[in-house]
Formats: sequence, structure tokens, C-alpha cells
Amino acid sequence: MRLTDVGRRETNRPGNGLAGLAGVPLGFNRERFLEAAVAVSGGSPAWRRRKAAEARELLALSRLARNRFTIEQLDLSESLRAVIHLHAPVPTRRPGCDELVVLPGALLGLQYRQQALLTPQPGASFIQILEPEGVFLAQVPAEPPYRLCLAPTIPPGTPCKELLLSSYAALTLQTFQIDVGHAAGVFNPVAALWFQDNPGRIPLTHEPFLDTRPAAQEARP
Amino acid sequence: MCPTSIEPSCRFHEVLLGPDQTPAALPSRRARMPRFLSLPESTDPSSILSRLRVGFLGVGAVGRVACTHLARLGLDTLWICDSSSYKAESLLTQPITADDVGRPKAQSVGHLAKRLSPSTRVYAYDGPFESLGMTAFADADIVLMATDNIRAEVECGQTCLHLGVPLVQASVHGATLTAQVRFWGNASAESPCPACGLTSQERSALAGEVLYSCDGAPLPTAPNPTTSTSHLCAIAGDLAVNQILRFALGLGASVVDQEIEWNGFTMRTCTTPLENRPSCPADHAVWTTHRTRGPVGDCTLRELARAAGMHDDGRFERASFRVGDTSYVQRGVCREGHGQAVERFVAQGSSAGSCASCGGELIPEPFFTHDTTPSRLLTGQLERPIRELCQEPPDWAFVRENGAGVLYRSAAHRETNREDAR
Repeated sequence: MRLTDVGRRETNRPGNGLAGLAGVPLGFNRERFLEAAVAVSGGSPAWRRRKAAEARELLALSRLARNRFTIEQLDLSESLRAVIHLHAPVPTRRPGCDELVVLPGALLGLQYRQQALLTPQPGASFIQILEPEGVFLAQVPAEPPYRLCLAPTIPPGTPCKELLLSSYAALTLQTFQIDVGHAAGVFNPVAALWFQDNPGRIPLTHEPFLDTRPAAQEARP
Repeated sequence: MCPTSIEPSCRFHEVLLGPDQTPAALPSRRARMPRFLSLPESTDPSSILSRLRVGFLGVGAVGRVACTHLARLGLDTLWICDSSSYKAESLLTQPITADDVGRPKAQSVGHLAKRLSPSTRVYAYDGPFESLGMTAFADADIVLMATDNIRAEVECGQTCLHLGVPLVQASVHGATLTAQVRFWGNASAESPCPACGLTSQERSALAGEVLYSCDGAPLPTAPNPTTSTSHLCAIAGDLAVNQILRFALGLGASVVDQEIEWNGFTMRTCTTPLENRPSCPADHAVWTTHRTRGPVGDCTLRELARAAGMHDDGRFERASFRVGDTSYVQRGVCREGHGQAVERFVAQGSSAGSCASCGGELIPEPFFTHDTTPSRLLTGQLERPIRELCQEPPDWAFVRENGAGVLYRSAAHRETNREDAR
């Protein structure tokens, strides 16, 4: 007897969740993008291998979540550095203005140092919000430079893909710290108290992180 | 003053005795030095030990015992680092008196060591190892680590491995009456390191050991107190000194890359080899160290890269640089949000200059701040003396190409003077 496929829908979800990213094909453009970055990668052989693996996972994730983020730049010459355009509702407030403006995205600078493999790192040491200015969140300082705090401490060896997902969750207030009395504190107590008073203004999105549409050809990394 | 290098980046301060604290007559170490088995007749152990320089990380119940033993051997130099002070509970496990409660440990042990051996240069630092900088123990022949802070152990292990300085760790497990001493030789990239041997339990503890505030500074967390007895801590300190003595004098079989474990229930000692773990997250590169003829700041990065034998394609495109305990800041931003290029090496926590628009203080932008800087970011700066690229003249610089690294340090005038004096 021959079993017949009754029409399982083909989606972009990796077979084994985030752990299955290594098996996701990157496609031609992303492969070339990765090759160019790896060609100038520096550091010890182990660090170069780790950076290449982290970068590949980021690119695989960007393929699966192409509605959610794109990798604009990738630099592996020392630390792993990536400029990432995240498409998600981001709350902002201009200085001196009380009105909350929700923008459709943010440009993030991710820097992953070799030391992050070995010892716990401060939660604000990985992501800088390059654009827009005035992001109004408890985890982002009110004044530049706009570092994004992901947690009081990031355990050693935390993969970049988890930092990126944490950034998405933090920027969209899906996970957030608004307890101004917490030992680690908050960057922006005014924002923390404002969202405590205005929970209905939390800019949630109904769109999932991973793109559930059938896989399609795409041009950008 | 510290002999390791130029003073500004060095946080150790020399421990000195008052006139009334200096003994009138110093006995010669030779008066009680045994004739060790296997040591050649022509070898003078006192002479060898009088040139030995040892760094200490942690001088609590174990480290204090070891440090006083080594001071009695009349060593050349001791560097002592410990960020904590004695508490009332310290009386239960450490050889101190009530007068010591409240005193910083490094200071207290430093004074004790200096009184025991006035000819030994003793330096103390009452702060965390992480803030000491890369070259703090670069002049040590051996570093002894006796701390209950896993993060400090891992960082110290990484630093000693890069510098090629042998590292000894002494520790206890009170419940099982066990004392352990590990000796890492740090001879090559294939050598094991403390991070190689971390158990999954220790890795979990490491992740939860530290909490950071918003400014990135570690917050004080509840310390992990030594639950042991003073005798067991003393045994661990004694065993560590025994291994250091054997290493320094070449007594018996090699102690390098071995762990010895003494158990008080069985009264047995086990020796186990320490092994390199291929998946260890530490960078196992052992750097080559050179002294420059003059200050490092007078050299250009291009000169250092060329002297280090890096691939010279005209721009040293594969090379990366570090300059002292600074970071290279590409861009800074003021509180008003005016961003501008900085392109200088800046010490952590320092201002990156003034804003050209509003005159406000420029803060380094984290994404544009580099600990190790690839040469392509330094276009036009490879030819300039390093001191022109920094706020303070550095006492060391580092060049790396892939896995190979060369550390350049300024000539040690003070050490030279001391040798001359002898």
C-alpha cells in the first residue's frame, strides 16, 4: 500500500524550531552574502567557525521571517556585527511631546563579541537602536545612545538568533520590564510608569514572527 | 609603584612599611632552606625563589595561607588582588584576628607579607580582577587563584592563557573534606584552561552569578561564602605552595596540567591530568610578548604589525589591533543626539570628546565601539604614533592576525633599574 500525501501545507517553519535553522537552505543571494562576510572573518579558528554559524542562522531566520526583518549589513572581521531592519510596531515619543507615535520598524545594530561566549554579559551590551530616535520604552534610555536592554544578564553563549527574537519581543513590548523598583533598574522610568498607566497603548501586533506564507523567491538578504 | 609597566593603567599600589614596622635584622632564607632531593648540588633554591614573582587572585581562607608561605620563601614580587573585606564570619575560617575585621583582604595580606619579607615587593589592589586590565599579571611567573567567583576564575584563566603565564587554582569542598589544586601550564593553544573543565552545574552557576545594572556595571550580589573549616583551607593553600615550589625548582615529576585532590576521609591524594576541551568557549591563543625599546605610544600600528610578521599587503588588511585597556570609538553621540566621527582609542567610561554642534560631551556609540579593531577601520591611522590616537599614552598594544597575536609592552624601566641595583 502506498501512503498518499493528503496535502500538508508547505510553510517556512523549520522542522525543529529554532534548533532546525542550520538545516534551512539560504538561497543564492544569502549564500553569496554569507560567503562575502566569511571571507574577511578574523580571530581564532574556533571564533571564526562560531561567527559563521551564528551568521548563517541569522540569515536562515531572515529567510523564514522575511516579513519581519532583513539583514542590511554583516561584518565578521572581529566581533559579529550586523545591521538589521526589524519590521515591527515600535513606540516612540519626541522630546517634550506627550504623544505616543507608533512607527513601523527600527534599524538595529547587533554587536556580538567573542567574550559573550565565555562570561555573562550586560543585557544592554548587544543591541543599539540606530533608528528611529526617541524610542519610548522602559528598556531604552531617554537620551542617546539608544541601547536596548534585553535582560539584567545575558548568559554566556546565548545565540544571536535568541538575542534578535528578544529584541523583537522587547521592542513590541511582548516581554518587558516596567518594575522601576527592580534591582537592575530600568533605563527609562518615565516610560515604565506610562505603560503601567496605559496598558491599552502597548503596540501589539497580530502578525507572527515567522512568515507562514508558502515559500517564495526573494531577492534581499 | 608597579614594575609591570607605566603607571597610569596600573591599579596596584605598593605596600610599604613604616619605620617602626621594619625588623632590625633580616635572617637569610638560606638558614632554613632544605637540600631538596633531586636538586643538583650547584643549584641554589634560595636564589631561584628570590627571583620568583607571583600574582594572587583571592586571598581569603586559602589564598592568605598560601601568600604567607610564599612570603616566607623570600620571593621577588607579589601582586595581590581581592575585592572583598574581612567580615566577622571570616574569623571562623581564616587565620585573622578581630582587628582585621572590616579591612580589605588585599591590603591586610599585603601588609602581612611585607612584614614577613621586607625585601619582597608587594602590591595590592582592593578591586575586582576584571577591572585590572589585560597586563596586570603579565610580569608574574605564576598566578595563584583562590576565589569562589567562577566568572573571575574564567577571566583570569583566559588572561593567563593569552599571556602564557602558568596558573594555579586552590579550592576546597568542605562537606567531603576535599582540597584541590589545579595547575595549568598555559604553554600552547592546546593547553587546557579553567573554562575547559567547567561542569554543566558550574556553567549554570556562572550564568546566574552576576547581575548588571543599566550602565553595565556588575551589581553587588550575595557572595557565595566558603563553607569549610580553617584546617581544610590551610591544607589547600599548603598543597598549592607545594606545587608552585616543585614547578619553580623543577622538583620531581612535572606538575603541569594536573589536578591533585586530597581527601580527609580516605587520607589519599589523587592526581588527574587536566585536558583541553575542543568545544571550550575560551580563546586558547597564546600570545607572543615583546618589549619595545621606548614607549609603545611612540610606535605606529603599521610598525608593530610589520614587526609581528603580519601579512603585509600594504594595508595589513587581515590584522586587528588593541591599544591598552581602551576601545576604538568610530562614532560618538551627544545627549542632544548629534552624532559625529571620533576615530580614537578611548578608555572605558571616558568621554569621547566634545560635540562640534553643541559642545556637549560625546558618548561612544556601542555599535561603533570596538575592543579589537580591524585595520580597515584605521585607514590613515596606521602611520601615526599610537599616542596621537589615544587620550592617555598606552603601555601596551596588541596585533592579531587570525589566531596568532603579538603583545607589545613598553620597556620596563623600573625593572631594569632594580636589576641594575642588584
